[in-house]
Amino acid sequence: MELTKSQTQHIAELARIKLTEKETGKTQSDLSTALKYIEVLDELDLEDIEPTAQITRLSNIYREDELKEPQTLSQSETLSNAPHQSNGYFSVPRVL
Amino acid sequence: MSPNQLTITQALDKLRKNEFSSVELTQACLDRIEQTDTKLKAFITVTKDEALKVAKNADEIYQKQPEKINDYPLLGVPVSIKDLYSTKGILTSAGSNILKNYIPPYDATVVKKLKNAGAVIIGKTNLDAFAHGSSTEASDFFTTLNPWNLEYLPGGSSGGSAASVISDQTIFSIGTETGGSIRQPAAWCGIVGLKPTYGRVSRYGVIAMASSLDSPGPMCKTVEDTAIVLNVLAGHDPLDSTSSSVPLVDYTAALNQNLKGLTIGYCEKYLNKPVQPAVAQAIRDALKTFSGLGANIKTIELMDPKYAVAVYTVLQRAEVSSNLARYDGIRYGHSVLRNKKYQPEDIIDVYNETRAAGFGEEAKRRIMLGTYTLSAGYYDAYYLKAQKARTKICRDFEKAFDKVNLIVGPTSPSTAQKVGARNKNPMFGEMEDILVEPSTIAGLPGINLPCGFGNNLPIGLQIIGPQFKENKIIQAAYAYEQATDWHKKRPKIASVAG
Repeated sequence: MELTKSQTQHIAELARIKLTEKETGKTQSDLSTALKYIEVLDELDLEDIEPTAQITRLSNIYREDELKEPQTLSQSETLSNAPHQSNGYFSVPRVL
Repeated sequence: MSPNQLTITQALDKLRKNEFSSVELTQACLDRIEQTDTKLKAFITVTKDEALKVAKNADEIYQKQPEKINDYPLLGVPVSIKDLYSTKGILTSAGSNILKNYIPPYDATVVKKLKNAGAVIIGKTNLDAFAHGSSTEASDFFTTLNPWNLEYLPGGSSGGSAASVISDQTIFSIGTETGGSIRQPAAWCGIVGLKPTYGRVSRYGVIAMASSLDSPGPMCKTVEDTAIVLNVLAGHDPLDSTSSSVPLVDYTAALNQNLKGLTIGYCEKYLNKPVQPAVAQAIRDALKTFSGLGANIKTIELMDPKYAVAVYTVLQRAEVSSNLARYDGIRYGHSVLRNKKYQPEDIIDVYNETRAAGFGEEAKRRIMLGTYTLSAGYYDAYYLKAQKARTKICRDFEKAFDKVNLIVGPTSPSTAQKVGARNKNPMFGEMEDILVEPSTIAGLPGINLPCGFGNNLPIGLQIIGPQFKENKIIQAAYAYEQATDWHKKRPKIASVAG
């Protein structure tokens, strides 16, 4: 399947990646190439076959919702890599 | 023989006998890195000072507390770690610009286990950015070269790890595999690389790529070393809910068992084009070796691996698009907000600009393909269909394992390819990994073993087993290794120095 330019631009927008004009063209052609490799799935009879999401067949692993020391980071550790912080919070530009 | 050339087993023996100290062993590895890595470029970070400190502590135990030696199965042994594992206080870049200054505040479970076992971390190795690739050419920093021939690629994504092992810069290494990233570089560099069953080794603290597939594992000089390291790494981790509680076995107990009564299958499809004739021949020779060791050899039918490539491409890209959504320039990593002159229009603009500058071409391509297949209206046509096809591939293997204990085939269709090969095809990695992706999709364990040479470059053999049968794989791999001497070959890298 060939993607159109406007589809490619829409995907980039959804993915929150700004593309240059040149990148858009290359992406359009690279994604179209990849989609061709995927098309072979249409040759398989998948009627009545359950999808596999978890390969070792685990489901719903529960645990108590409690704080445990070793995997709890302090506020300063949590913020240690942030570009902007303010009063112990991540600081972000205007959202709305 | 210089200490850095030793295996884990040999190094531990000499450390115990006090033939050299861990500081001397670690220094030998650091010297080797200094002599060779300006050309090989296997390492992103070398943690010299920290390594020597840890080595010194190990020596104290050897000298002053010998009764404690057995509590540390890797006491004083140097290890290099793929730069995808979070290491507390040490740069963890994932080979990407977006994390090039990222210092994790915690250790991955695998890193913690290695530290608790007494291993000495000597540095972090190069990879395709976010482990997206099969060559290290997609690293945002530089390409690692193949120690056997510097015009060739080491494979990937754990290419830095594989190159560091075969060039004796380290005693062993730790890689990760999502679809070939341990086995394929192990094949191209001529070392032993084990991808465990999905969930056998914890993913906690490994920078996530495709969470339903990611499998951490050892990359070593011998099968025995691999068993020793797997004993340290394997096991359930409360911090990774997808890690398995299936009971552990002592993997070293699988060594030294004969192959009588074991049935090994192979599939002709895996030996046809595009598999190079020299590679196919090496596998046929290996089958004869297995037969000579007492195993029954049987042909089996498996689905065409092109279906696994399709399933892998859909699932992996979709999971990548979701996992890499976290790199938003707000909490850590590269951010346009660090540019003082930048005046954001709004928060969406921060995301768009940060991700455009921080991700390389490969990551962008993967994120966008995944975004597309998961986007409204396409879920059934791609993701759901791929998950159903995944079930079909699992059943195909289950059927095969009714007839045979293990399956043998080539790891990669070819020996190492030349630097630059990746740029020719946006699906380069998938085509190089066509023979490992089916087992990946089914969550199966698999090992790469060196089994010959073509074009003066190593050829890799893989052994695949049913889920949680790493011990059977190790049994067959060890027997093969003892009957051959491919694992003893080393590239002449003395010429690399300077």
